[in-house]
Amino acid sequence: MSRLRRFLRRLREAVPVYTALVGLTVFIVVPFLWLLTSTLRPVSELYVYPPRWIPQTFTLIAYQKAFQTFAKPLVNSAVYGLVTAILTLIVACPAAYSLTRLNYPGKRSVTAVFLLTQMLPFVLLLLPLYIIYLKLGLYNSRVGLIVGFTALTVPYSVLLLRSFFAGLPIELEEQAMIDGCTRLGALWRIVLPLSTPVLVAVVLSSIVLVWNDVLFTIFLSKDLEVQTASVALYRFFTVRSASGGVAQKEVMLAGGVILTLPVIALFTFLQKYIAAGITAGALKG
Amino acid sequence: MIEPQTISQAVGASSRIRGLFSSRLKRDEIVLGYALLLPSFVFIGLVIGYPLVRSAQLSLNRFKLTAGVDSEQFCGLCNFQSLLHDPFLDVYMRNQVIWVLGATFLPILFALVLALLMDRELRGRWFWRSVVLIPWMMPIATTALTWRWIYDRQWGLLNYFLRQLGLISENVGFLTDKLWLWPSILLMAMWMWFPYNYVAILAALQAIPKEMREAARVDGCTSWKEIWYITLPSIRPVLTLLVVLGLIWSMNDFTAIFLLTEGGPGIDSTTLAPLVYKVSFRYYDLGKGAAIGMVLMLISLIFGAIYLQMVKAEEK
Repeated sequence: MSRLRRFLRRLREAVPVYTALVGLTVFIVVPFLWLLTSTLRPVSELYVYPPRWIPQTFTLIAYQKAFQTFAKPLVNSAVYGLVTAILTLIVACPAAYSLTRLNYPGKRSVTAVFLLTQMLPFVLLLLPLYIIYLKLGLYNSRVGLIVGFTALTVPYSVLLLRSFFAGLPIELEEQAMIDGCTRLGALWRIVLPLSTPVLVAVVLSSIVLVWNDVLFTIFLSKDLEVQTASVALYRFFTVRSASGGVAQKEVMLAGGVILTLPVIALFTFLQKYIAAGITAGALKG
Repeated sequence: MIEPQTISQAVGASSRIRGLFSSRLKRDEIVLGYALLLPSFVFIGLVIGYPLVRSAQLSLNRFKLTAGVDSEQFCGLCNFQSLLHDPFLDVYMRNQVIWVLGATFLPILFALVLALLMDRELRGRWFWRSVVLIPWMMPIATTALTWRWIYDRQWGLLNYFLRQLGLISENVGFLTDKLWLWPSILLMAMWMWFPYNYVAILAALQAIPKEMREAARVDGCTSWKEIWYITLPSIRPVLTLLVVLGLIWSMNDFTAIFLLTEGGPGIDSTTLAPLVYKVSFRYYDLGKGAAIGMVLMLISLIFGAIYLQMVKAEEK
């Protein structure tokens, strides 16, 4: 009897919780599932009323077309992401080390400047940046885009690395320096090998930033040849008339899925690093 | 065998030497410190620093490309005055307020509800956890494309759904109809921005000591009371931080609205960040564009200062 009562009480608690969870989950997954199922059908089934969740004929033809359309931009995104990530590490690690382990006047202001760059309206920078890029010959060039991306990732990465370095015991580095290591030697041999999780977080966030960026690439380049996949996708779905609009819908949607898959892969394999990075970077500054 | 005396002598000598060279060591440390910062300064200076200074300068100059490429001339606060007397200023301000408040609080609220529901022993934890991350993993270009497709006037899923529910009798243009425009934009904002807040809030919830809740329960607290008197006060610092960050980010955000509606129809969803772009790149009024951007930046910096203070307080 009492067991039954306990069961009923548990049920009374669990039912509303699970009902609410299912409701919220539906809202979260429906857009993604709708995108997915829209790409697995021939065009004729895309424009039907009422909308059909399960296509009558499965086909991957949209993906085939999308891969052709987005091949080059996808390669661009990947290359820019990797180069930006490496460049960010090269630039941000020494800066973060300097901010944690060395003492000099102006250190606090420098840290504050890094933090405040995260709070600027970037759209304000675009016009002068556009002009200076034209003057320096960086406009519409791969180098120009990578330089821009790196400037975006560095401040955030420095803060992330700084809070991680600060948590490492300083004794190890002192020991190394007594044994004849220079400061930079200590950074290279002691600090960096201990910092793998945060280094991974920096690399990941840099790649994802490049992958997702629309704003910078649109304003600092004009040819699809050098642009990233996100921007290629954006151009596809806003410039309707140029490419026959309606007929290309399924290609755009498939492109959207293709764009998401690498990010899902990165997140899945490296989930714990991301969580660590988020909490360290955003909430501790 | 080393005598203790030798050691103390050696230590004494070394500290004396150190004293002798300390000023030089100190100078070396300053030089090295800045040398290590230099590469980051180069990137940030070129891409952020210089454009910022140039924008500040532009905002004080009259410079319309329509009047010639070399028509730039100092005019004091004329651009800010022109902004104040803009006939559509009230529309822009209304849009900005709706957008900033909605895009800040809706995702946080959604995240809070979800986190409170998830903060317990659940069957299929792995499943729920992955589901929550989906909107986070979507690149914003895909997100905007997906929602545009859902909002499609003719074939959109939402039109069908609302008609099935009997809430609308004929198809609605969610991104063109004034009544539906902002709810549609904010729905997307909520969908794509709650995961970040959710992760932060859940982490804070799980840091609440179990004893506190058990004590509350022993004292006869109901779940609602427990949430109100124990849970929410414990995570208040995180919530405040998320609100401040959300305000700053949504205030400056350009991409979400630009990709979903391009600020349209007309100017009905134009907030300040897209306005900077429109005024500079479409009306070629570079001075005024910069001035609007400066206003936006000043407001953000005020919130930024609040954020810094809060972080400092947190560290103590």
